[in-house]
Amino acid sequence: MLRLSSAAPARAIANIARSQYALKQQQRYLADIKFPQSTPTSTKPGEIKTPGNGIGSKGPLSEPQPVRKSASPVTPTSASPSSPTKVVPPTPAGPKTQTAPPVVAPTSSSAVKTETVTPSSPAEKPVAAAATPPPPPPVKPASDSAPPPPPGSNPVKKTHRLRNFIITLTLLTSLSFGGGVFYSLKSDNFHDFFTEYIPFGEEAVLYFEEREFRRRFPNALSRLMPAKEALPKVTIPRSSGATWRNYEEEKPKTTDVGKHGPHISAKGTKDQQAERAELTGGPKANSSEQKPAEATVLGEKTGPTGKDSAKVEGVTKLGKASGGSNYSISPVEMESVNDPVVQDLVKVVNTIISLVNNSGSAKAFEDVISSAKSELSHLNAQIATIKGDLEKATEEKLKSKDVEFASAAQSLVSKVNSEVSDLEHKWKEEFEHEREKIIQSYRERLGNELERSHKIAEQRLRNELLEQAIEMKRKFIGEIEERVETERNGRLGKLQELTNSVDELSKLSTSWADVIDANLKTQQMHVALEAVRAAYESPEQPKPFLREVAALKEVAGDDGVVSAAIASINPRAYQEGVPTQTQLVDRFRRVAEEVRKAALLPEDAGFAGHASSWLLSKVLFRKQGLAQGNDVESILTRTETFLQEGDIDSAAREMNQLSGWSRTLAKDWLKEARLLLEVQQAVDVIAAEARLQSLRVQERN
Amino acid sequence: MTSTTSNTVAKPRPASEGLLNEKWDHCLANLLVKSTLGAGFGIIFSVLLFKRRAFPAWVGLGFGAGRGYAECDREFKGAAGGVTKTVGERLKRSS
Repeated sequence: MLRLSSAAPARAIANIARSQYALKQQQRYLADIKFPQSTPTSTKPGEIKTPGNGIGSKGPLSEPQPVRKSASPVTPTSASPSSPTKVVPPTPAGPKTQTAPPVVAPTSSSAVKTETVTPSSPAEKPVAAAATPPPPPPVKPASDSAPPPPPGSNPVKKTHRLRNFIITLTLLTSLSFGGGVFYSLKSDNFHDFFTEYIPFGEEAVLYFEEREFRRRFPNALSRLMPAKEALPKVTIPRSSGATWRNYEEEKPKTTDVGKHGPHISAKGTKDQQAERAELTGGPKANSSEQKPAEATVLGEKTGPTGKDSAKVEGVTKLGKASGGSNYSISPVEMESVNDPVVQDLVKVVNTIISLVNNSGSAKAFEDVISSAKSELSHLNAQIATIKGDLEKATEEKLKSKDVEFASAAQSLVSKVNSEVSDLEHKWKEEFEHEREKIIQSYRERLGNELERSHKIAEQRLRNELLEQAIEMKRKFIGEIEERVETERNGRLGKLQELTNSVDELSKLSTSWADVIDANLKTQQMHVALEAVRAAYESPEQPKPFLREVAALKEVAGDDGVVSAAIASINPRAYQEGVPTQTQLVDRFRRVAEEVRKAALLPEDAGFAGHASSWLLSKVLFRKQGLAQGNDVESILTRTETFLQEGDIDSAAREMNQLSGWSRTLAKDWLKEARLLLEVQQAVDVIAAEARLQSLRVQERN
Repeated sequence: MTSTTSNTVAKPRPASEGLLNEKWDHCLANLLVKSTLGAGFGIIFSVLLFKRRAFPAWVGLGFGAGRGYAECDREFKGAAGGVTKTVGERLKRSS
């Protein structure tokens, strides 16, 4: 409690002292009010009633305190918030200036502590109150705490408290928000935090970032925006590009095959055409307009193609025209016009004449034209004479040339003839020469051929001879061999027979050996079997006859029947031996006695049951022979009878019918009987097998 | 002779026909022993507590004999060679 850190301790101690002092003061005051009952400055008489402790009523009590200087330190100790206001009235007289509220705040905490401390020593109070004198030292309040503020300033402050608080709160909030925005612009980490958790933080930060961005790049956005508007508009017409539709001609053709038309009959063509006209009014009109145009074009075209005819026509027309007029110059007419030049000239003149005729002033040009005509005829005559002269000259020249050529040809022919005869002579000579040569070569070849054929013939002859000799030799050898063979076969055949008979003999002997072996085997088996039988039937039983059985098995070898029969025997039988029949009978008598004792036992019998059964069995009547019935007594009687007859098998069967205690008692006997029966059965089987084997051996013979 | 055979063979178990007799032997011996014991206790009690009166001896004998009888009965009932019909039913009921 008192262990306060740093600067606090001194103040705390002072406070404690102060509070103690205040307590004393209070107590003194209490004593005062108790005794005089009336105080000059007491305002609240109701509060004075609770002075019992002097601790809980400190606050209210301090107010009316007459001693002003001591009251100020006490006030903080009061827990009530209204204390400062109430403290004010007594304090104004204080010499020291206020600063009280700030000072009060720290002291209040320490005062509370003192409160807790003070109750620890309640006993001291009265003592102190009694001992210490009431006047407080005047120095203490002056040094300790400042007097409260002036009365005028305090109420104003109080009224503005909430407003101040709100203002400071908003200021602080906005400041921190602004700081947050600023810092979030600086640090990415804080930016994330700020935008995530502070309301409106993201918007604010974004706004500032946007502003920053705009300031830095003033034309960043303007560059993007107008680019779109500036793009020229491209409009694609509706009917552009390729379509799926076939191209339709402007003049729609309506050809309905089903309709009446020229392809069906020639009759309705007109109607058709009318229809068509109706259907296609415009186009029809067009075509009708076009047709005349075409006709005109054709007329024009035909004009140039038929030029000559046009000329002739023109000439005829001229003639007509001249004929038509009053006077006209007759055109030039010449029959013997061969030269084309003259002809052209005539044509020119004729055209001129026609022109003149057409012009109407034919008379004016008559002279000129007539002169021209005469000139023309003259020219024609001159050309004719020139042509005649030329023809004569050429004829003469031709004749002279003909003679020359004939002489030259004759000389050439003679030359050619002489050359041909020379060639003929030469070829004849060469031919002769060649023929002689060929004849000679043929002769040579003939001789060669002859020689060769001779040689071949000789060779063939020799070969034939040799072949004959070889054949003779072969025949000779063959004969000799045949003879030798026959000789040999005569002796060797006998040898073969001998070997065959020897083989047969050996076979016979081996088969006989088999038979002998089998015989031996069967005999051995019989012997072994007899040994076994003797062993188990001997009166010295029980005695093991393992060796006998082993011998039997070995003798039997791989005989399945024998091995199976031996396997069927309980091994205990030949390991420990089997009882003889007499032994069995003997034991049966003992067993029967015991079984009879338990014959009358009730089911699940106890001591009493057994006792009664034992007692009653003594008085039972004995049966004889093959008794009827399934009771124990009759079963026993039957078994005894069977045993006496030597039928162990039936006896065992009978005993097997027992049940309960009697069966339990007869169990051992049954087991022994079964052992004996098993052995007997096995031995019987083996004996049958042995007999069968011996029969087989006999059959083989 | 008998001793040698018994030595060599070392009889594993008695013959089946002797089973009942053996049980009887056991039972009777047990009965005798138990009843003697009971009677002995009865006599002792009678001497010590009952001023030599007779009835405690008879009571002791009866207790011993009864005990022997009960044991015997159980032995006979359980050894009937396999489970008999009634026993099987009883077992079924109990389980």
